[in-house]
Amino acid sequence: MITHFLTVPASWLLLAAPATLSPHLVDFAIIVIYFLMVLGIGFYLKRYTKSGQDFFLAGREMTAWVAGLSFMSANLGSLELMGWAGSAYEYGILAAHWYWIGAIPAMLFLGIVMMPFYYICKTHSVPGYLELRFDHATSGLSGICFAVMTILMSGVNMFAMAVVMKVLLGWNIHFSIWVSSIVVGVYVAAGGLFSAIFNEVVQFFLIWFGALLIPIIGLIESHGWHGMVARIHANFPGQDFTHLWRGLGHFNTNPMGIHWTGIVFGLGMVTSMGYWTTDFLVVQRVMSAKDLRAAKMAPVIASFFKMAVPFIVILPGLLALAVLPFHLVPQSVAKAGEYTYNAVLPLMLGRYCGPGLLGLGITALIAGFMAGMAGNVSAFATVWTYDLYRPFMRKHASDAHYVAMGRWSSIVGILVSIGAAYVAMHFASIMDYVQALFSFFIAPLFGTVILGMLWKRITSKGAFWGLLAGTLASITMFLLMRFDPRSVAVIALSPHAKVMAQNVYQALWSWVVCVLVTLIVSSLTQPRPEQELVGLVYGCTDIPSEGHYPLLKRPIFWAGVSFAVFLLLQWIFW
Amino acid sequence: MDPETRNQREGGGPPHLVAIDIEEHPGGRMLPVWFFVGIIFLIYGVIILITGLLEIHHPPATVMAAELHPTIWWGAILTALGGFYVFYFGPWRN
Repeated sequence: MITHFLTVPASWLLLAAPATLSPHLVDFAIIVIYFLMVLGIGFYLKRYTKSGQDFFLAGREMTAWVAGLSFMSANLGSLELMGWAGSAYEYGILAAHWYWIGAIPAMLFLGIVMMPFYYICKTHSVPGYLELRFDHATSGLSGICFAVMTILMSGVNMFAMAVVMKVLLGWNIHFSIWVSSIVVGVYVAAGGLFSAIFNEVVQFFLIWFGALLIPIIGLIESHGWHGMVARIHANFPGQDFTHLWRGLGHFNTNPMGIHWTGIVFGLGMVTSMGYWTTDFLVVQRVMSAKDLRAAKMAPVIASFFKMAVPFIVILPGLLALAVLPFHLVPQSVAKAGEYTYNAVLPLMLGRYCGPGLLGLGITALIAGFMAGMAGNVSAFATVWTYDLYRPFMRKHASDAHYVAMGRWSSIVGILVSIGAAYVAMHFASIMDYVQALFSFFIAPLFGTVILGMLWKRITSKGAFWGLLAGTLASITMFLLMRFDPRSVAVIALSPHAKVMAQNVYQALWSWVVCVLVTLIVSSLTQPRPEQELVGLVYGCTDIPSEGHYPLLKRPIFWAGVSFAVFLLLQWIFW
Repeated sequence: MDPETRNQREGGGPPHLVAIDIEEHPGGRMLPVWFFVGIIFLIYGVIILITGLLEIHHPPATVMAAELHPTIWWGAILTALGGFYVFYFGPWRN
C-alpha cells in the first residue's frame, strides 16, 4: 500500500506533459520539505538581524568555513550546474578550465592579497571601496551598473530556471517563477545576509549530495575513467574531448576554437580575476567573516571545493558523451524530440536516480537556483541601500532606517526580477545580452579596483574615465561581433572562435582599454595626498597581523597547498 | 557589542582579542548552521532509505544500475551524516 503510494507517478501535479523526468510523490515530498526548511531558517534568523551590520554583513560573525561554503554556493547556481554540464558535453574537458585556471588563482589572490584591503577599510561593498578610494562618481557608476545588472541577471536566471522546470517536470512557468521568488524574497527579507548565508550552506550540501551519485554510478557503468575515454573515442572518432591543454596550440585543434593564450590571459588573468575579486555577489560573503584570518581563509577553503566541482559538473557531461545512446544538439538547431546540450545533467539524473534520489537531485537544482537568486537579491539590497540610497538620497538616517530600507529593497528587488523574467519571456535573445553585458562590466571593473588598490598614483578622474571607457569598449566589441561576423577574426584572433572564446578575448581587450585610459588620465591629473589613502592602497597601509598561528592554521600555507593541487590537476589531465 | 570589540573585529585589534562567539548574540543563543544541515539530511536520509527498502525486490526498471541499490546506501549515508550533525550540533550540546 505504502509502496504504491510512494511510487505512483504524480502526474496530477503536472500542468503540462510530457516532461523529461517523471518524478513520484516521494520526490515531490522531498521538494516540499526543502521549501519549508528554507522558510523556517529565514524566520528563525529574523530575531537575530536587528542592526545594519547584522542585516547586510551577517553581523560579521561568520567563521571561515561558513563564509567559504556560502561563497562557493552563491556561485553554484543551478544554471551554472546545468550550463557547465552542457558545455562539458559540447567542449569536453576544456570546460574544466573555467573551474581551475579560471577560478583557483583568482580565489587565492582574493584571499591573500585583496581581502585585507576590503576587510580593514570597513566597507560594505565593492562600490563602497571605490567611494573610499576614489569618489562618488566612480562608485556611483559601478553601483548603478551593478544594481541594474544584478537584478536583470536575477530575473533572467529566474526565467531560465522556470523554463528548465517546464522542460524537466512539466511545471507551469508562472507557478515556478512566483513560488520560488516568493520563498527567496521572504527568507532574504526576514533574515538578510544571515539567512542568505545559512541557506547557502544548506544548499551547498544539498547540491553535492544530490549530484554526486551521477559521476559515481556513471564511472561504474563505463568501467572507470579509461573505459569512459575509450567509449568517447568510439562515439566521436577523431575528436579530443579529454585533454585540457594538448589541443590548445592552434585555434582549430580543439572543440572550442580557442588558443592557450586566450585561456591563460583572457580567462585566467582577466575574466576570472574580475569575477572572483570584484563581483560583489561573491565578495560580500567573505566580508561577513568574523576576523581577518577568517576573511583570508574563506576563499582559500572555497578554492578546494571549487576544484572539486568538475567532478559533479564536468564529469557528468563527459560521461554523457560516453554512455548516452543518442547525440545531443545545440539549442539553435534542436528539432522536436531532440535534447539540447543543456539537458545533459537532468538526462543523467533520470538515467541513474530512481524515486527518492530523483527528488534529491531536483532539489539540488532548485537549491542551486535559489542560492544564486538569494545572492543576487542580498547583494542588490546592500549596494542599493549603502552605495546609492545613502550617498545620493538620504545621508544621515538611523541604522534602523537603513535596515528597513534593506528589507524593502530585497522585496522590490525580487519584484523587479520577476518583471525582468517576464521581459525575458517575450524577448528570448535578451538572455544572451544580459549575461554577456554582466561579464563585460566586470572585466574593466577589475582593472579599476586592482590599479587603485596597488598604486597610489591612480587618481579619481583616471578611475572614472578608465572604467567608463572599458565598459563602453566591451559593449562595442560585443555588438560588433554579434552584427558583423567578420570582426570575430579580428577581436577573438580567429574566425573559428566559438562564443565562449569570443567572450574571453572581449574581456581581455576591455580590461586593457580600462587600464590604458586609467593610466593616461591619471598621469595628467593630480593624485590624492598619501595620508588620505591609508588603509586603502598597498604601500600606504600596514596590513594588521592575522595573529601568530601555527603553520597549519595560516591562510598562506593552505593557499600554497591549494595551488599545488591545482598544478597537479593540470598535469594529470594535460 | 561594545564599540571597542566592534573596532577590533573590523580589523583593528589582534585576532586573539576578537572574542566573538556567535552564541553571544543579543537575540539569544543561535543554533549553528550545521544543525540545520543535519536536520534536512536526516529527514531526507530516512525518506530515501525507506523508499529504497520498499523497492528492494523490484528496483525501478527505467533506471540504469538499479541492481546496485543506490537508493538504499545513499539513504543510509544521508541518515548517518544527518544524525551525526543533529546529535553533535543540536541545542542539547553545550
